[in-house]
Amino acid sequence: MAQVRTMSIFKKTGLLALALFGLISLLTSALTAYILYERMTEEYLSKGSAIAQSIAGASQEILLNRDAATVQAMIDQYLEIEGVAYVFVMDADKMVVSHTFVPEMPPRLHTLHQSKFGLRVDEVDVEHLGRILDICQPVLAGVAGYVHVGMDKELIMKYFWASIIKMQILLFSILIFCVGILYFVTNRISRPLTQLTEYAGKLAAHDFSATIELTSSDEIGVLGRTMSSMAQEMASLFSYMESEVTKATGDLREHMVYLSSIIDNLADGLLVVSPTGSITVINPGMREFFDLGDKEYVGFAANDVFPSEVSELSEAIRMCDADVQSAEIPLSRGRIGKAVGSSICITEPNRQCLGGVILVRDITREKELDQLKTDFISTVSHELRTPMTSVLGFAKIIKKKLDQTVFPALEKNADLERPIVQVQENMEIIVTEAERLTELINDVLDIAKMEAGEVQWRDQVVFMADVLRQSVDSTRGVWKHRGIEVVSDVEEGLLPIRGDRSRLVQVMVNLISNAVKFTREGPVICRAHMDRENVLVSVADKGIGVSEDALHEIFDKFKQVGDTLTDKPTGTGLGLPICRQIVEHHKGEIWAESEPGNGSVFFFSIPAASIRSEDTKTSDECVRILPKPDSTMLVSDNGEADLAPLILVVDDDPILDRYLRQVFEDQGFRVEVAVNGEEAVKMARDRMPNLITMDLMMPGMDGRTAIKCLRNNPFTRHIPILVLSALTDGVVAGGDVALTKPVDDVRLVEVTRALLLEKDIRRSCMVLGDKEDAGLDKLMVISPENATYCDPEAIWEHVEKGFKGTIFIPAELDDKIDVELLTRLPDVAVVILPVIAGQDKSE
Amino acid sequence: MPKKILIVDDEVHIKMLLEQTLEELEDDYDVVLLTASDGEEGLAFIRSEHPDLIFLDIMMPKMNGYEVCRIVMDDPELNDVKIILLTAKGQEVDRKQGLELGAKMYMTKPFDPDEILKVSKELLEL
Repeated sequence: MAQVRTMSIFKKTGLLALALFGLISLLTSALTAYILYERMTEEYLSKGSAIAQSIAGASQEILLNRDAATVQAMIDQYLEIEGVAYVFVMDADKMVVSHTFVPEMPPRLHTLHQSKFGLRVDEVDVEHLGRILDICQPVLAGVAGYVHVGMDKELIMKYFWASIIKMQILLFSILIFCVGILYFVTNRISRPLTQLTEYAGKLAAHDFSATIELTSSDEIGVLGRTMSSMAQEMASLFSYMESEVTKATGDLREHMVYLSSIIDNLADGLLVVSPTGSITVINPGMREFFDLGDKEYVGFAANDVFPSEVSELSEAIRMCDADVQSAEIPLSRGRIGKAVGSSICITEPNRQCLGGVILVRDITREKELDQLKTDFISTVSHELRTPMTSVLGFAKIIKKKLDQTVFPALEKNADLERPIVQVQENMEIIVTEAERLTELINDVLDIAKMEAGEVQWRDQVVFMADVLRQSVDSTRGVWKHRGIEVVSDVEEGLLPIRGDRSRLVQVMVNLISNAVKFTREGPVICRAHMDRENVLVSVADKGIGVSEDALHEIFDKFKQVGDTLTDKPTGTGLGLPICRQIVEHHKGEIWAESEPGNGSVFFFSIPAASIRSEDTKTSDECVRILPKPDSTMLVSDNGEADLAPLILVVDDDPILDRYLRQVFEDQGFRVEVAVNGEEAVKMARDRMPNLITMDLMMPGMDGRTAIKCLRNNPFTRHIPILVLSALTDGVVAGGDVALTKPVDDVRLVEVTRALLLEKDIRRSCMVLGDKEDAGLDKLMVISPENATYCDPEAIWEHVEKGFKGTIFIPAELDDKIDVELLTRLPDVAVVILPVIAGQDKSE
Repeated sequence: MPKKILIVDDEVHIKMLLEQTLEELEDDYDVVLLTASDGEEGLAFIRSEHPDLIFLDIMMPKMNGYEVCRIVMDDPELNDVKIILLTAKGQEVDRKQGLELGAKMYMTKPFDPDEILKVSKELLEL
């Protein structure tokens, strides 16, 4: 290709040069020939006129004498001169005197004009002679006649052409010579160019071993040498790059082997699924867990290979739209695995979902150990509690029998007075000690459970003010009995914390009873206030105090400072360790400050719950669905009281919906179906079901959020929620009970009945607040004669006395009452009344 | 028609304790006490006598308290019986399970005789 182009350049220049040269040579020869022609014509003219004049001069007399022979002789000699075609002489009468024609004069010449007064030149075509320049010289002004000399113009033309041809021949010889030289020179130039082209071609084909030999010092030589050095440079670069690539490939391979051996040697099972749900990585551990053998599974759909528990997990994570999920899944050969699934998502350069990864760990052994521990705890508790029941129970019965029957009968006998008092005292000791032993057993089991992680901690929003009030209330018996006042002082605007309310109450009760126990005169002061990010609670007493050394030990098990003091208190020595466990579980701290003799202060601080963005988001979403609770909600509840319980089934799977509907309808329940969280929240508000079954993973608003919305709404928070989920964290989502899919219908019905029973609204009603304020008549919910009214503060007394039934709480009192605690009581139903009462007041 | 209270417990002492505690009701009200020593016997009694209130121990030989509770609650003729589960187990899971099965109450050992009396009176509406 390159060669062709080089040649064509030379061809083009050659052709152009040839054309130019031809034109130039043509023009040059034409000009030369023309000049020659002109010169010859002039010369012939002058030659002819000279001849004519000489003849005319010499022949005046001869002509006058008409001596034709002399004239003939004279003109004949002129015929010898080159270029003279003819000569003839005419007399004054235009009669030809003599001529040089053989045999006769052409007729055309007779007709020539002639001038008497000088030379006249005519150009004529003459037969046989061709083109002739005729020069006519009058002799004696025509008196003696005229001399005509004919100069042969054909001869001039002959010369003309001859010179053109000669010149052309010469010029073309030169041209050919030049072309030859040109060709030679171009060849000289193009050979190294061709070489260079070939060389460049080789370089382009990565043949760096090729060489080029150019010795010339011209531009091409320089170019060649530059190319040569460039090639060397490229060759070294190439080899460097090649070695680098080889090295990098090697490293990469090594790294891949490293990674894949890690994956292959993981004790855990690893499964990676693509966003489409097909398997991309599966390690031997995973194969072993599910007895999959050596078959190649990459590319298969995870759903076809693994049991439903795994495929549901992979479905949940593969699209990168869920958090980390975990589930307990059955493995082959009766083992149990814990599967944790998370999405694989890259954010650089732009967000892209690569699927999900599931790690499965065999937790059979842990489960067994766990079970052993649980068994141990329950066995110990059983083995200890059963005899304790007898001891304590019989002791109390004996005491009662003695007090009620035996002693009155013996009172008359004065001798028996002392033994009776002793027996009474001893019985008291037995009962007290048995109670203490029971408390110890309870505490030991409590702390054992906490340490074993057996305790189920609730995660709820807790207001410390509620905790304090409840603790003070429930220890009332103790401090009233000892005549000590307990004062609580809670800072305004105290932030809530997150945690387990009943456990925190346990801490407070413990601290208050401790304080009361070690104090002779009050008051015991409980304070709660903000300390930076934490809620700081303190319980101060004016008791015997704790020595400096003991301060660090009192939170250890079985360390009781009372041991070292004369005033030996009663207790198990486990109260404070339990408090510490509970506080530490809430990511808090517990400590004590004391001055022996001057009392002590026990502190604990727990991080305040920042109102989490998630909660705000949830409540926003809830508000979007149900902008404002209205007062019509309660009426439907009452109106349908006699009908069968209404169950709201919330699930996006139509098959499951149908199945649940059938199961529940077979039991005589009424059933409504909602297919997502949003619909569920709305239907719960409108239809006021007696129970909701909730799926967690649904399109749109999911179950978790829906439960939060339901719980946030005072009108729906009492509805029991049964979570039906493939994942095992149903209760954590906020439901009352969770069942794991697949659902056993017998168990489902049992649980449903239990929940319905637990939340059954009883006959008796109690309304908080004044009759006038509550404005019940507007609602027509409660027949006023059936309702009793009570002071908000007094409700706990009623509950402690065993109140069962429905408590109606006006919404404005909602904040003041621990509604959640009330709802948790087994025989109490809580209904929040809308804020109509407030409107009445404002009017 | 006397109200019937059935005590089902394999522990002789506990049975005695409950009996002696509840004797007080027998004296004061029209109440009859019945006892059984295991789940099967208890169930037979429940079927034949249809008691109003049952104190049911959970950990028993032959048939445990949960099973008895489940059978009773599934039987439409019997499920108006009020059951108080007695157990030494204090775990919340157990409590939940018991209540889910339809028991009215779940009492953890050791229990106070006075509380037993109080609860019985309430449930029997005496």
